[in-house]
Amino acid sequence: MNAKTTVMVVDDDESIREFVEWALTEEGYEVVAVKDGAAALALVENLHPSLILLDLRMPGMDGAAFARAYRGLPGPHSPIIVTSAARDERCPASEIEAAGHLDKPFDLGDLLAVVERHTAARR
Amino acid sequence: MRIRTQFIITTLLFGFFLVAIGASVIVTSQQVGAAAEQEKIASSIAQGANELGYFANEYLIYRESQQLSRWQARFTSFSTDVAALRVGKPEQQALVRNIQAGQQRMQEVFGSIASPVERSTQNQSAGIDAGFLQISWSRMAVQSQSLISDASRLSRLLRDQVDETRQANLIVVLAMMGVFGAYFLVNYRIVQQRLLRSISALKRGTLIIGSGDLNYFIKEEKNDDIGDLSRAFNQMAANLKLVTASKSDLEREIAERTRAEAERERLLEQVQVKNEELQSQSEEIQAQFEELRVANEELVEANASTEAAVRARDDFLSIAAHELKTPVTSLRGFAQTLLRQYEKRGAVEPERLSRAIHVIDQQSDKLTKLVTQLLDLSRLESGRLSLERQRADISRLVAEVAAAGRLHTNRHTLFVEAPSTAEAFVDPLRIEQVVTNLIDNAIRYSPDGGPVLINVIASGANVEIAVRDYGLGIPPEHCPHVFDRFYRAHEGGGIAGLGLGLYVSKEIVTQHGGRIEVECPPDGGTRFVLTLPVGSDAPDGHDQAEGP
Repeated sequence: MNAKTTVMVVDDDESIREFVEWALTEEGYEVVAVKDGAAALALVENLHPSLILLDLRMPGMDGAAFARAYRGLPGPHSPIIVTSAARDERCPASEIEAAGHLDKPFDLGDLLAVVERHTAARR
Repeated sequence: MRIRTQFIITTLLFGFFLVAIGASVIVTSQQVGAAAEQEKIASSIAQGANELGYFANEYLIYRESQQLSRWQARFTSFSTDVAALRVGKPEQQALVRNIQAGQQRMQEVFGSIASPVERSTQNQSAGIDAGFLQISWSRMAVQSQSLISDASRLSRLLRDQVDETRQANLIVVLAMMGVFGAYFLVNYRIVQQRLLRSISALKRGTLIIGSGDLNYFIKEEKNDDIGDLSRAFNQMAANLKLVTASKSDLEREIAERTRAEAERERLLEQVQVKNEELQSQSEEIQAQFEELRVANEELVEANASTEAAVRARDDFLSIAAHELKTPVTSLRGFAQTLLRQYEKRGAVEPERLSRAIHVIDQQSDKLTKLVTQLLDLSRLESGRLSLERQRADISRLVAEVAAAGRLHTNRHTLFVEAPSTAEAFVDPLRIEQVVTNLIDNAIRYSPDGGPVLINVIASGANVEIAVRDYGLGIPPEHCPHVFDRFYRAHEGGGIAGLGLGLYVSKEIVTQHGGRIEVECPPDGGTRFVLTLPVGSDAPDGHDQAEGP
């Protein structure tokens, strides 16, 4: 088992991916950042990340579609933290069975705390 | 008496008369026949008497036995004739008795003559006294003449009897015919009078009954045909009365029914009228219902469009929030990460710092653009978007926008084809905003990169700017809506945007008096064509914003 905890970041905005990856790497996490659900789904099975930070509005496969597909795969499933600009009524976090939610624009401290909390068991 | 009875009696009488006449004729003809026979015998007697006289004379002359036997033979037949005489009348019977006496005397006379003659003949010697002969001849002649006379008279009497009988018969026949004729006439007269009287009574009765008095009865006379007729007539009248009564009943009933029918018709008509009223009311209600339904539909539609508008606005707000929050997230993230680095280590690597500041700048610009779009939307909706027109070189403007665009991408190649100068009287900042929007779109919707062709064509009164990409293109069903407010052809496709760019662009172009169109070329991608009137310095009324 790798000593580092892997966190998957799924967001279409390049600058957001960039700073999240920078900030988490600084804290000692292994970060895999992808721009949409399809890319995430391609990697997630082999990667077994400790946590998935998932944006909802994305081109191609969006957050909800990824979550449905991911729940269709054999477990165990990593916890998902939804990081969206607004709680989308058409695709509530409950449907995704999200472990938590970070409203954009989120505070860096909050992000680190949420990641810390959901990855503690795996560390 | 019945006419039939009368007729039978008349017929019987007629038959009786016929039989009587027939009998009379037969009797008469028998009588006539018998009389004629007797008359013939009488004539034969007369003739016999004559011949006997003649034969006696001859005998006296010739005194031969031959003459004697001839006389005797003739006398025998003469006697037969006399014996055959049968007469009824006294006069005739007297004559017959005379004849019979004459016959007697003739035989006696001839005997008295014959004996001496015979003796003389036998005794040749003794001659006949001439006197004797003369006397004998005379005696015979007297006898003969007497007989002839009687026979002739008898014959005449019989002839007269025949005539009388015939006459009497004729009289009887005529009398009978007269009697019958009289009877017939009287009878006929009686029947005629009865008939005429009855017919007259019937005629009167017919007229009276015909005039409507069905209670009239004619007098029923006796128990005969006329009585029968009268009774039949009265019966007919009674029946007629009954029939008329039942007819009047029937007529009353018919009248009643007709009245009922008319009443029914009237009611039916009322019902009809009511029905029509109801029908028209129903139609009115139907029409009102229809109006209400239409109104309702309109309301539902209006409601739906209101709902759609509200939903669109909600969607827009959601999108706007997302679009605004994304750069803010990035700004905040980089700023806090930089700060955390600095606090942790007291310094930040220069590359990191440079990169962070660059992103912060980029995101600030993005944010500014979004805010500008929202502001434009607000201005458009409140009619406060104003143009500041001036003479501008469109070729240069497009070249500058393309150059700025090249800075944001290294995967797309932007080609500009424009005349050296193409002036137009426009708000250069607004047109720059529109062209920037078109080029940004061309880049954004060609995620795999590729060429973007930008053409400027000055054609007389217009300047045309065309932006062509070879990217995702627009599905045909979205083409009519790409200029709609909040409309995003690739919604859900994840490509960022408020759905305001083309809407604002179109509004700006429209305010310039120009137009903007979208084409979907068959070889993929999209081509936007912007046509602007060259315009002039003179105010043309297009510099005031118009509400959407």
